[in-house]
Amino acid sequence: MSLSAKDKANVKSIWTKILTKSDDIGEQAFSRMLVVYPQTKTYFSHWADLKPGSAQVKKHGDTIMNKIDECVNHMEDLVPFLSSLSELHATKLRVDPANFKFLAHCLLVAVAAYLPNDFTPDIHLSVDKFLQLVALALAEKYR
Amino acid sequence: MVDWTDAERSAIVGLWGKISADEIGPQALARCLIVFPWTQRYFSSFGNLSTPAAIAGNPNVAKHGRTVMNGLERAVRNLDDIKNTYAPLSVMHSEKLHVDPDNFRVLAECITVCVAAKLGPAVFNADAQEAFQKFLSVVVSALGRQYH
Repeated sequence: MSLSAKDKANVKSIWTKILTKSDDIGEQAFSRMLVVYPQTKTYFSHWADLKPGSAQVKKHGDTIMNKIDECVNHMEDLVPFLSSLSELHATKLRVDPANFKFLAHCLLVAVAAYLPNDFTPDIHLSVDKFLQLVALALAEKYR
Repeated sequence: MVDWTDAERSAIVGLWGKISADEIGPQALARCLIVFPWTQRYFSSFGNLSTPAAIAGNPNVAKHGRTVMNGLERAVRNLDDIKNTYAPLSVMHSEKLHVDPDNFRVLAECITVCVAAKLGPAVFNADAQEAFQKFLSVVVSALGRQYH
């Protein structure tokens, strides 16, 4: 399921609005994932505080969101763009790629919560496809 | 039997009280048909589903959205026995309607997105989302249970 020209336009268009609240949305997406899918906490057992609002959760939500923001400008070359990050996740972090969809879902929920009037069904469709491709690119180096 | 904490019970009942099934149902079903277009396979008798605008304006979609969402009321009122409450519906979806149960999961995702959009991040916070998604996943599981 590749991105059509319309999908790319939809993603770029909603992202101009997402960027105005990128920190909030990033933090929300990541902290919601830890609460709604508690198995994802297993990757962060070395952190002191995994609750929403904690400094580490906030910072990591920002880190992830900033990268996804960058991916919007690399929809034509996601695999090479995410190559070293894929390498990191595959060989060092070894996050089961089944978890990527949980973060993607929480990101969709956060965008819907913050931008209810902009997150129309066709935009939702394009963003869902985009996030799936980001996840695929991130899993590229796993095996 | 599902283990609900008191916080989860009160979150689920609280959220249910803040939304209108008649409003969210049509939105969620339309969103599902648009975002996951293969789900349209079950609705060939519904008329024009050719564009997102057609789907969003289709009165059959709206009516069915209301039917499905109001069906969740039974689960909210029977949190401790969702499995048995939904057994006949599960049989119907399997034997009469032949719906792939993965569709229940996909519709549940759309319901969650619509509720988030309606209530906003402060009311539909992480704990509320957790309780609501747990509730929906129990319903989804109950609906798939009688398939064979």
